[in-house]
This record gives sequence, C-alpha cells and structure tokens, in this order.
Amino acid sequence: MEVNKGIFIKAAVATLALFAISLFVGYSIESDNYSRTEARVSQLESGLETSLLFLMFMQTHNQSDAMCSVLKSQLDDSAQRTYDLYGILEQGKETGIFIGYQDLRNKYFLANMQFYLMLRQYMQTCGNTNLEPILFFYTAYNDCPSCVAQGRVLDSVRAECSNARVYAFPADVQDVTMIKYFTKYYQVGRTPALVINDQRYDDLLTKDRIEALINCSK
Amino acid sequence: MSLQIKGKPQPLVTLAILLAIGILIGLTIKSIGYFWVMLVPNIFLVVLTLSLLMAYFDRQDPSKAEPAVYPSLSVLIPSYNSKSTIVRTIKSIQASDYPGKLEIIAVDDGSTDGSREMLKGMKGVTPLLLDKNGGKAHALNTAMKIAKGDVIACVDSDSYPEPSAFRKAIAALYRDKRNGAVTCFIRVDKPDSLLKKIQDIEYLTGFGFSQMATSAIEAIFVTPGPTTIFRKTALDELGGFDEENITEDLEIAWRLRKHGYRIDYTPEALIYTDVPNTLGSLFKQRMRWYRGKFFNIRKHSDMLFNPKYGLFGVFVLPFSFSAELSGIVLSFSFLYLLLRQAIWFSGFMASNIALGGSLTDLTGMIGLGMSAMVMGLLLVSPWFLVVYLSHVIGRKKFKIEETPVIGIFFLFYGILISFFYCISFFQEINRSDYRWK
Repeated sequence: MEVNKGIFIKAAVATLALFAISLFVGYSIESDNYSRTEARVSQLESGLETSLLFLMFMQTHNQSDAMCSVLKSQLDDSAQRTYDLYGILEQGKETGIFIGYQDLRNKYFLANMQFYLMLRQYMQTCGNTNLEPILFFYTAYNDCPSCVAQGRVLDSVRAECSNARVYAFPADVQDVTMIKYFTKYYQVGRTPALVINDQRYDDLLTKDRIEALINCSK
Repeated sequence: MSLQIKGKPQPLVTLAILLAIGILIGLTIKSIGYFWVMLVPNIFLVVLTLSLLMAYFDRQDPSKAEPAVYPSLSVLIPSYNSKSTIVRTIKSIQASDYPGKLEIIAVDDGSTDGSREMLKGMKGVTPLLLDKNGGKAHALNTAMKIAKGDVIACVDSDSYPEPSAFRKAIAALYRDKRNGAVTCFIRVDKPDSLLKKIQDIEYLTGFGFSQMATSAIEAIFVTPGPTTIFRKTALDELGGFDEENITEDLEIAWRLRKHGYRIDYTPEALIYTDVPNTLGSLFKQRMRWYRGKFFNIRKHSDMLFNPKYGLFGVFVLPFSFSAELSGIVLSFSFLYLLLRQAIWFSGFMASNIALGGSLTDLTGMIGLGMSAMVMGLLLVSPWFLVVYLSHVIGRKKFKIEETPVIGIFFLFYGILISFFYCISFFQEINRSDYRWK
C-alpha cells in the first residue's frame, strides 16, 4: 500500500488555517470588547466634562440653589457608569491576550479621580448633602482575593445605600502620578484599604460596619 | 542473562525536578502569559492530530476477502494469579466461530492463587504449568515451543475476544504476505465506574482512531498485549518475545518492523479487556508502559528519525515523544492555572469568613477571557472529531450523556497521565542504569 505523504502537507496547512482562524476569532472578540469599553470610557469622559461645566457655571454665577440638583443627577448618573466600568476594565486587563488595557485604564482612573474630587467640591458648594464618598484601594485582581471580597461588599453597600459613592483605585499602579499621590496622601500601605470620611481603614470592613460609618440611607 | 536495575529510586529528587519544572513553567506564564506558553505544545498536538486525521480520511479500505483455507491457530494465554478472569477468557475463546483448527494453550506462570489447579481440569485446553514465575514474555515463548498453529494469538488472561475476532483478524493477517501481525480493536470490558469510563474513551480513541490512522501510514506503534495475532514464522524468525522487557508487546512490534514485517489492523476484531479500577493500579500499569517505552527507545534508538523504517521512524516515533512532552507542558500550565485559582479561592473564602460569610458571587474565579476560551475550543476541535470518529470506528453510538466523561478525559485525565509520564521519566532517570548480567 502506497502511503500518501501529501497528508502531512495538508495537515500542516490545516494546522496553520486552524491557528489563523483561532487567532482571528480571538482577536476579533477582544477587539470588539475593547471598542465597546473604549466607547464607554469616552462617554464617561464626556459626562465628566459636562459635570465640570455645571460646577464651573455654578461657582462662576453663584447659582448653587438652582444648579445643585442638576449637578447631583449628573454625578449620580456618572457614578453608576464609572463603577460598572471598573469591573469591565479589570476583567479586560486580566484576560486580554492581544490587547492591553493599560491606556484605557489610566484614562478611566483619571476620570474617576476627577469625579471623586468633583463630588467633594459639589458637597462643599451645595452644602448639606448626605452623600458619602468611599475610596477603595486595591491591587491586581488575581493577586488580591481579599480586595475582590471587599469589592463585593462595597457592591452590596452601593445597592442598599443611596448615599454611598464608591471610587476604586489600584494602589500599585505606577504610571498615573495622581494615583501615586493619592495613595501617599492617604498613606495607603496595604490593600484592600478604604477611606471613609477621610479616615483610612486597613482591615476588611463588613457591610454593617460600612453602613454604620456612612449613615446608610436606604 | 537477566536485566538488572542498579540504584534506588529517589522520590525527593523526582519531586524536586517536578517542582522545578512547575516553577519554571509558572514563571514563564507569569512573564509572557499562559496563552502563549500553551500555544507551542498545542501546535505540536494539533499537527499530530490533523496528520492522523488526514491519514484516516486518506486511507484505502482494505480487501475484505477471506482466505480460502483458514490456517491453524494457537491461542496462547499467559496467566499469573488470574483465577477470577481466566475461565471467562477461555470460554470466550472457545465460543469463537473460527473456521480453522484452533488450539488453546494456557500457560500458568507460577500462580499461587489456585488458578493452576483450575487449568488442569479444563476441557479443550492444553495447560502448561511453569513452576517459577518468569514473566509474560517467557511464558509466551515457552508456549510457542509446543504451539502447532501457523498463526499465534496472544491473549491476556483478563481479555475476552468476541466470537468473530479471530476469524476477522486472521483474514486481515492473510491479506498481505508482508503482514507479521494484526492488531485488534481493544475495548474496555464493562466500563461501570468513572475511571473505567474514562479509560473506555482512551481505548476507543487509542485502539480505534489512532490505530486505524497509524495503520493507514504503515506505522502502527504497538501490538497490544490484550490480544494480537502473529504469523508464527515471523515470531520464529525474531526468536520470540524479549524476555527481559517489561513491555514485550511494544518491543515485538518495533522488532517486527526492523525485520521488514508489516503490522496491520482490523477494527472489526473486537477484544474486551479488564482495565485498572483504582488510581493505584492505573499508576502501576502506566509506570510499566512508559518506562518500557523509554527502555525500548534506548534499545532501538537506531529507529528514531530513520527513514529506513518509513513514517514509523520519521513521524510516529519522534512525534509520540513530542506529544507526550507537549502534554507535560500543557498539564503543568493547566495545573498552574488551577493552583492559582485554588489560592485565589482560599484567600477569597478567608476574607469571606472575616466579612461574615455572606459572599456568594465567585465571578473572579475564572481567570480566562472569552477570547481565550473560544480559541481554546477551536484548537481542541480536532480532538472532538477524533472522539466522534472513534465512536464510528467502534460502531458505538455517541451519546450526549458521555460528554462530561469526555470533558474529564480531556481536561483532567490528560493531566493525570502526563504526571504519570513525568514520574516514569524521572524513575527511569533515577533507576536507569540497566545492565546485563
């Protein structure tokens, strides 16, 4: 029986084709995810600009009474979108093969930080709001399961307390100067760490404890 | 002359080397990502699998002609302490529809469980009772001296040929004058436990698809111990089985090839065999198989990459080692992922307890993205085709209920077998100083 050695050429071609298809499909999926996430970050940035303009208008024209509620609803809307994006970006960073999420993450963290600072300004300008910003410092998703656990607790705090506003930042990020400054300012040495009412907490905080600290409005 | 193994096994050294490999792979994954670490061994496996698939689809159906006169057949059953199975083996052979003359020689290799007494009283069986346990190859060689048949069937004492198996196998043996042996389709007898069910898939793909594909390129790797049919003249020319070999079935296949004989295969000759039902017995069996393979590659190293032996020398032999090496890298990588997830999970659970134990969302457990999962599935798709084709060859209906077992076979059994392979390799290194005395 004559052995057809052409089968090996066919097998090599088929292997190349299979790998090419796999790489193409894998890249397409990631690229699609990245584009959608990028669009959401852009949306966030544009929301940020709008909020910033509201705040500037308010401060310039001393229109706090009329504008406070508008700015609050603007900040509330952005807070929800910001927090959702946090999970998507972290997941993308962990599981991406072809596309790095670093630039997008950095953009996001800067926007997030601006939102946090804007909320603080809003609270000062608009006076007696019962909003409670919580800063959450964590490290890389897979290396810090306790950060994930603390994050889950914050998810449920956010769901239950209408006054809770959570802003998450990676404490180990090296290339965003402002985050480095933030962690230095709050003296974050270990993760997870929470900052509530400018007080840092290095231990894991239960839901009840956090709710008590922020006077949870249900 | 007997084979001696110098030196003692060193489990700590083995463990240290295994750990070192694990750490090396772990560090590589950490720096370049698990996907790229897994890619290279996967390419090897996909090329191998697709080559076999191409060979399978390219094969010509052999002639179904039966010999005008069936030759006389001697069935040799080497037996050692197989009281619980040998009677069934003999009865299944006696139920054979073989049209030619058939004799059964049961060789008791110094059993101590009372099976030799059982053999004495069995009708239609020539008992050959050896006083001392000398090993399977020795038992077979001794039986061959008194065998009268032109064809020799070696049947393990825990294997059960279907009634038509010998007729079909000998028809295949006689379809080509160069055939020195014919291998049969070995299936797991009564796969009633999870471990047996997994081995059923392994045997189905190994003795079904792989054997069929390698026979299409004339490169069958082994003449399986449970049952293989040999031309007696071929065995005589080779001087019988190598009595110093722990895998005489592998060695005889390679030696047949060296002497210019073909090894054919017929999936129609069905043989059922008992397989290990515990991890311990599986481990022992695989240590013997893999160490035997290492031993034989050293003994017949001249065959490796040697075009004189056709695709067996230049493709099947080297690729079988590459595939196992790839399996080891993949297994370590997969284990690394599992270990990382296990550490993550324990850390998460510890935090969960500290937080009052109310967290149930484990989304962070899966460290694989959608792209990696889809790509992984695409790359293993040829293997699913192999499993399906093996069912077709075995005329076994593919049932959807088998899917979890197939999943375990691919994901976990492969890892287990790779570790066995690794351990056998290090055992071989530790105790590798074979010498002839």
